[in-house]
Amino acid sequence: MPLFPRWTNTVSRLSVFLLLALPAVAIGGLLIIVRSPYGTKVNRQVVQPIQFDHRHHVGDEGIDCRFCHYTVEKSPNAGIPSTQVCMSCHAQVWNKSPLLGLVREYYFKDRPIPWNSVHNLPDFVYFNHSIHVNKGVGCASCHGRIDQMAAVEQVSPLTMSWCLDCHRAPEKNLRPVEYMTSMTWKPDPGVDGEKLGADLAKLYNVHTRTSCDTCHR
Amino acid sequence: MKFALPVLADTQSVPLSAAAAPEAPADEAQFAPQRTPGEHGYGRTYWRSIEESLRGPEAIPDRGGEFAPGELDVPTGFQRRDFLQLMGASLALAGLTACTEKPVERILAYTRTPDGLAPGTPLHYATAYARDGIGTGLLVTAWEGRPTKVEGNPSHPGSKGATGPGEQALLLQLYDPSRARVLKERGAGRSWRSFRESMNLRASTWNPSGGANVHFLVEPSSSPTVQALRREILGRLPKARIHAYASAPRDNIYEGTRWAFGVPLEPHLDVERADAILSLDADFLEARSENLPATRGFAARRDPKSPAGMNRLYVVEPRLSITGGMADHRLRARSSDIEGIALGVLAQLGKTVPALSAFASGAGPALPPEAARFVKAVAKDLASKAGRSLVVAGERQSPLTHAVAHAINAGLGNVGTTVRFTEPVVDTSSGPASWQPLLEELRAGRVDTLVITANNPVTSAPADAGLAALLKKVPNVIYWGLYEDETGQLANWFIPAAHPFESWGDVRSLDGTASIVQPLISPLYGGLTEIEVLEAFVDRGELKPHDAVRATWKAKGLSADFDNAWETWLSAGVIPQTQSPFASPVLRADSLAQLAAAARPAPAGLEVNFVTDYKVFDGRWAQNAWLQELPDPVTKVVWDNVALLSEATAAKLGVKKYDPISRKFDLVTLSVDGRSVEAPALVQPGCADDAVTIQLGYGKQVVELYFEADVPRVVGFDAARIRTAGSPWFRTGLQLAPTGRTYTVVTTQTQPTAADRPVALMQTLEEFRKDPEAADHRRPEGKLKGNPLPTVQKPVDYSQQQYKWGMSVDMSRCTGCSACVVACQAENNIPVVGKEQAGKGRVMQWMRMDRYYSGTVEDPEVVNQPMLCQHCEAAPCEYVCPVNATVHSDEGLNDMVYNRCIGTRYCSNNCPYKVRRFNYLHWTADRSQVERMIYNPDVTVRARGVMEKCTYCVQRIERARIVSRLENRTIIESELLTACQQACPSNAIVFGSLNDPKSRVSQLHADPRRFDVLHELNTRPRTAYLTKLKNPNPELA
Repeated sequence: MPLFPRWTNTVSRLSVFLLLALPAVAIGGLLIIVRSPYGTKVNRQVVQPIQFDHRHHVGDEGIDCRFCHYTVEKSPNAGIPSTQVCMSCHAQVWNKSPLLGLVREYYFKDRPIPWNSVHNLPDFVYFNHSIHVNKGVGCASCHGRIDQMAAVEQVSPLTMSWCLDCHRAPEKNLRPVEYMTSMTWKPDPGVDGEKLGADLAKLYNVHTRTSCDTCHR
Repeated sequence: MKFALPVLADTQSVPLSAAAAPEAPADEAQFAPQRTPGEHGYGRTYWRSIEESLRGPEAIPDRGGEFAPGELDVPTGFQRRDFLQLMGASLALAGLTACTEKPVERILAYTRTPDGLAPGTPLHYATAYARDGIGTGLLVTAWEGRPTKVEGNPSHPGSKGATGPGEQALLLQLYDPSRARVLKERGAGRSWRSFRESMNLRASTWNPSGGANVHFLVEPSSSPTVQALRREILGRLPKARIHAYASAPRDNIYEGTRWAFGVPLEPHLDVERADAILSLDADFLEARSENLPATRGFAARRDPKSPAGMNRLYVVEPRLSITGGMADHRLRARSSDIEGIALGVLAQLGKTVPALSAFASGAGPALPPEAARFVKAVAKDLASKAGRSLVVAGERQSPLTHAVAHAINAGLGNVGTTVRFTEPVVDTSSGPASWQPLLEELRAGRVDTLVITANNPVTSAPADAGLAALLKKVPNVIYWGLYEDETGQLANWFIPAAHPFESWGDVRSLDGTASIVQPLISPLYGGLTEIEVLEAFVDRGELKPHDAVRATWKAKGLSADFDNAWETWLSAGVIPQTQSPFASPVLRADSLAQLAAAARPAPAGLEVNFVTDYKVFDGRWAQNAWLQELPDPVTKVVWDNVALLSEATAAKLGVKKYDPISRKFDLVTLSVDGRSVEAPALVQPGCADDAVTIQLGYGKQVVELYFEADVPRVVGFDAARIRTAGSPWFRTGLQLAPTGRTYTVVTTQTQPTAADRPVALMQTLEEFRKDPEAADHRRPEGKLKGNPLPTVQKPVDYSQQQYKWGMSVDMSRCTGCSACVVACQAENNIPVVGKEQAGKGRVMQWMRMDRYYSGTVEDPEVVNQPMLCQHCEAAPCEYVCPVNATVHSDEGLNDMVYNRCIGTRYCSNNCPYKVRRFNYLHWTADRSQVERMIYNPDVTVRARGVMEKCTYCVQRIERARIVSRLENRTIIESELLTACQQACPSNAIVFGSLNDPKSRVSQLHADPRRFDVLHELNTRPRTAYLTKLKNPNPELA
């Protein structure tokens, strides 16, 4: 009779396996969680203090993104429109609507509307809207079909690998700048998208960088 | 069985260039062929501290490794075991944080976006700052209404784009939470309205006497609006008196011109046109408001390529100043003896220059042989460069010294070329002569109301004024100040002042150019401006400062379309055509000759010198931690002031040199006329014998918001306690005795030493002309070509990149003023650590202003070397980082990725330049909301445990890149300046792309004076230095 019965072999193999596997699964699991839609918070509607409906403004009325987010072409921030921008129309249109009561209240009290942020980058990441939109990256490329969202949600994971995917091969995501704010732009049928992207990259002198200091300072 | 070790890859097998055959690596001696053991190049040996010079490198404490003593101390109150336990537990629990929701961030949009503002893009506003009435034009960067950075206004003649450390640090003062917030009457909060009403009631007691019992003690002002208000006050209260007060008065300058020309005038130096300059204790290279243009001009002529050739600077001074460090020849002399030396130069010139013949006989006091030789050589040199020479006297010197300087300038035909005169724009009398009459009235008890807008006169005035006791007798004292300081506590009414960045106003620079001061932000703490305070004493309705300033300028009728002109003035920062016209004064040679003949030699004995502190000035910036923690350009002392004395004087008086290991300095008692003060004594190379120099502005309660508890602590000692109104700048009769006790002073001087390597190099102009390629052996493309030391890193070809960033630092221009250090601190959100942590070597400034001495302890020569990350192409820090937190960018920047850093500090260990800074503690924790407003949003605020270092202002590069790429062009050199480069008053720092052969930095990298620090390590730094050149007079060599 050996000191250890044969089944202890299984136990010892199993315990060695578990000793290695458990931390691997735990760490790997965490890495997966933060990259999962749960971790990146994509496709989750963010409730705002005022029910602003992009479906109506963009979809029905066809208002250009830049009418409200007018600094997108010249500043790092696209800019959450000031209350005055809301009031420039709604002083005339729907100026008695109870849905807009809060807007009027904030405006006349001169208090900022506390919008909830949808797209959050970490504080050590510096993103610039202007260079992207001027080099042929459309609004919808990152923000999705805003014209179909009742409450805006994040559609891209905004992880570093997602950024790098495009920075390494931007051609797939380029479009003519005149269609920048179009929600529905697609290359014309018969046009090779990749080829078009490559041509546009040349035309716009697209020069994506992947050095750390591109985004981290 | 036989084991064979695997053959390690030969590190040399990477060919460094196609031609480089693997050769035996050369030793260091080959790279420095002109170097003999113990010598650092060009026959010079450099030393950093007095111990090193006197006792050799052994005197420097052996730190037994990489980090300074105490640097690795674990914070107290926490045991290692507890720490590990907690660490384990927190690691285990850390995973759970992934299970919680991140809090939703709010975005607060404007109700109405201000004109021209795009969130995320900073705006720059032109404004101005006046210190004692002397205006400097500034451009302030504001992010969504939040000022974050101060820069000089290039179109302002008082700045020319440069700033000193003081202007840079104004921001920290703006957000200082210890600033006063409440208007008080005897300690109880009151409203502005009740103050005005109280003054109106009180007016009934002034009016019968025409205001004879009303006095004003005000800061010197050049503001047309303030001056108009002063006239209005005197119109209403004709017998009221307005006394200008400055603790560092410029009276002697105006008195000197009055003696020389009969009228007080403002001298303007055109240093750039001067071939030879004699400074009589004039620290005209100190980076202060009044000196910035002079520094620009001086630096332009320290370049051998300057079309007019290199200038030559002679300095006579009692202590080693910034200007003294730049001197080609320096004469140590007690301040009291400088008048005699000036007269000696004048008499010498009188013998040869006909215009000065009246002075040939008045030889002045007999001079010691060394001084006589100096005087003779200087006089000859000045005379040979008549019309292109310049004599400057410092504000501390007697009016006669100033008059002598003017006489020499006039006699040599320098007036109109290197020096010009205009009407003064500030009060010409702000010293004791201006406020002694007030003291008499106070003593007689004839003052009912005293309005003080000058900076804290109770502590900044000479002690024998006894202002504190006198103020207690005045029924109605009103004090307007940024802080509720000693004067504020004695006043009945305390009015919190608005910071200059919160105020409307106007100032003039010394040449008369006017600027509008416009606010960047509304008052954070409800402060009021001086204009509003003075208006309370005028019998008319209240005007807002903005309207008052507009009214002043509208009345001047400078433009038909005033509203339009006003907007232009605001955006440009200067009002055109407001310079004062140049006067053409005539020298009163005869009366001056009489005065010169009557001059008597100064009594022998120990002399005490009072100088305004380079950092905190007269104490007005004592609460400013950026300035307190800035190492003094000469002594390298932080968070303290010291009594400076020469080695011989120290030996005579029994003062021991300090112990570099414990940093204990001898505490000495300084007594003058029965008043005494205790101070640590520091033996400073280059001090005159029998002259002790102490800095004013210390000995104040400073709230140490930056470390330990937020308790007020006295920083330094109060030199004003032995200052007298009769001789506010220097006097003999000082007694100095060691107390037997010691005091810990923190200097950054012996922290990282040069370890006997040639790091900062200096040549004479002659040596340079003889062998312009001498520095060549210290750079890769020079004589070393093809034979560098091996490196494990594969060379990268950067020539195909759009940009290849590089920097050059001209040590010939650098005065060591350290404006760059503070500018970098402001731009890059660099924290302050406090005296205790600084003593442990944990100072966080990314730039280190290294100061090397060469020569003797008595008469050292100085080389200043700003040391910052060299952005080595083969960076030793990079290959030791286990997590790739420091890596190279495609354009050759040495990037630091904070979010990857795990704090091993291997990179700092492996950095030969010692330019990496580690966050040993969480310096930025517990900052209040207001303090956090100072942060530059373009730069990450680092947390504890993260390494950081100079980034070449990568945030500015990226912004400039995006702006240029939006316009489909390349970056223009002038639109991308690093923070240090922008602030530099001497244009010593140049930054740009080395791939552009036309860029200034490329040209400087090809300069024959260029060398790379520690090039023998083959780090291939992107920061190149240019050797310091000196232009000595062969007669004095």
